[in-house]
Amino acid sequence: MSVSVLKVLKTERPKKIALSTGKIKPCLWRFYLTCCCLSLLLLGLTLLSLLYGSADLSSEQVLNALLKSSLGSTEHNVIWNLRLPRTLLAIIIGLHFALSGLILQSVIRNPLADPSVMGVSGGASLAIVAFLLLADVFTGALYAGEITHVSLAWLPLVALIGGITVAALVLRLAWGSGISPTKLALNGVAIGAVLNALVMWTIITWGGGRTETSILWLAGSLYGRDFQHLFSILPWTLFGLLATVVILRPLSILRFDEVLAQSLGLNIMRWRIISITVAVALAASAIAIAGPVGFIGLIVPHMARLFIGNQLGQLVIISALAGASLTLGADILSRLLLNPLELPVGALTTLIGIPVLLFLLQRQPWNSL
Amino acid sequence: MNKSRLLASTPFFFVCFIALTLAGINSLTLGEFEFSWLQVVNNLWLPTENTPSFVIWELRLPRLLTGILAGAALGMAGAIVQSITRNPLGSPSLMGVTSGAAFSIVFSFVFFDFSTSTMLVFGTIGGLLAALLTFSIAWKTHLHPIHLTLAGMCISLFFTAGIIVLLVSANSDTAGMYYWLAGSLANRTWQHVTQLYPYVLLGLILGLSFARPLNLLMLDDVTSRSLGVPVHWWRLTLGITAVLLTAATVAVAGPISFVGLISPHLVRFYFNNQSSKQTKHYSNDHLVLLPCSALVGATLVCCADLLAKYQEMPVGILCILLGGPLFVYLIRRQSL
Repeated sequence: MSVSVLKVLKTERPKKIALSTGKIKPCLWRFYLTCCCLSLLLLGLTLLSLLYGSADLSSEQVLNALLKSSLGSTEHNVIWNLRLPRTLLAIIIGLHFALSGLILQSVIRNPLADPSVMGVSGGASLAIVAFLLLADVFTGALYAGEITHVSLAWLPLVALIGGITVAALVLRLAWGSGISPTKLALNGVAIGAVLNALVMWTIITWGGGRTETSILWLAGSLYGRDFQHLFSILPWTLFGLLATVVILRPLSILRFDEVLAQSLGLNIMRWRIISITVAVALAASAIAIAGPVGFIGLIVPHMARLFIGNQLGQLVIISALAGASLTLGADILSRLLLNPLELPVGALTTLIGIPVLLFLLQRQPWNSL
Repeated sequence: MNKSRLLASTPFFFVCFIALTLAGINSLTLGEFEFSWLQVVNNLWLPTENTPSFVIWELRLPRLLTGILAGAALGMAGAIVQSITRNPLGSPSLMGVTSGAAFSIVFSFVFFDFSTSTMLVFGTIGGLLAALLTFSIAWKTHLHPIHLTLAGMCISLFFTAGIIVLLVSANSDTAGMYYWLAGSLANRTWQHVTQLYPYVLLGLILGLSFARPLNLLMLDDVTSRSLGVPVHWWRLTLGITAVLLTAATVAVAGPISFVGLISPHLVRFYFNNQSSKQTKHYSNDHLVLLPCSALVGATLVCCADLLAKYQEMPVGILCILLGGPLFVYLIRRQSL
């Protein structure tokens, strides 16, 4: 394909997914400005997240603990074992969900696509719960009485398998209608409900000692995560970022309709499958660590489009930054709102996300559903 | 009900009734003490002072009756909602009514600790609010089935998240709440039955007396208006009836979803597969559809509860597992 054609395409706005922004011409200064603002916001939120928490620490103490490693002191413990890993995880998970949502929305050409709307979260959760219980059964049978911990590294992989299966199922179900956005969303939500019921069933019947923690995890929470969790998700983050860079080119063509993409010499089906796999992998690894924190993937890309228009390369960066900020902000809020207690961050993001989803639904032209 | 209607629906009624009775007696035999069928029937017929009688009458029968009443209410509510919105995907739980009611019941429970009757009022208000929200969102699309359902499910998710926030902030013992939220019939007493049955009876009578207007509402708006039907008023009244029925079930048995969706479809499926044209026509006659749906709903919940008893898991979960696939199938059949 010639470069000039691509250049033309880049400036042209795809009709179906351009939602809120059409009038904004992609211009560079706007992108840089947004980038700067979001980075500052993220930095500020990170500081806030490190400074506030249920243990009262002054800013000096926090700085001391961060810079001078005084092993064993309370500040050191609180910062290095609780607040820092949690903050970093919130950032990484936000990035994962945001990128996943962006890729899905672009590939399926559907403004309502998101891991939690498409039922991917449900599939990943079910796979993880089933895996943990099975592992318990097996290890219980092998070493009776001993408590064995399943390696964290397995969880993202298991979640990925569950997520991919459900994504394939939902897409297959909605395929006949040329993947109309609303129908896809409805299928996804319905299958998600069934999967959640299955998860509840599994937990209530066979959960035993794990019931309480499982329910907390299912609500999506960053409570009590440490560097171990962080390290188990980092490879996936790196892989996801690399893969996003690789699929950026095909993705920017996939956003247009099939005929055009085919005429540009793209193997549509292959790239579609690859892109969806990458998106699901990003979401599934985040779910494995933090539980299904919903709707970030839905909100963030739309926010990003509102800021800077519709150029994919820029959207990726802005979405990543905005997703990280949003998740971190929600996490801080979930800690601060009921101070000694803590809300699951997933509930908070759902409360923010549903109105956005409904708003988007309202904007769908209903006669061309 | 005139004679031909009665004749046409008799086999259906009969089958449902047999299934209901079998499931009922079977669930009465199961539990901590295992009884034989003969024992159960004997003790039901002639209650004595001994333990089996007590177990059956005071522990197991209330649960069974609650299940039957809840199922009947849900089936009826589902049939009403499907008719007034002319939407095959309609059901109180898919309109967000169930979650809205559950949310406000949890709200009243957490902040006021009211009696159950006040919880019912709260539940009704919450359900109405949720329905109002859903309808106002889908209003622009003239209540297009897919759109309405998606909006309803979103509202439902929203309220579910709200419930989690409430439960976490409540700072009290909420373990029982989780079980209730999954929709459970365990440990129901006669108190629950007496709370539920006036609503269900009232709802059934209201629904049946509105069967004729409901038939007319199935026509399109212009036609029914020209026949002199105050369309909006009927819709509102019937909608409130459906919400009341649902809220009553939620208050007593927790959110049980999908029963309202399945039962009318099962009834329609039966009548549509009949050979004679006359009988086929009954699938849209509400004098037949409403009582049949109520009966099917009761049977469904009873059978699900029987299955649930083997594992002692909430019946609501089982209903979702049964109803979900059918729901997906119905979505597929929806033309856009």
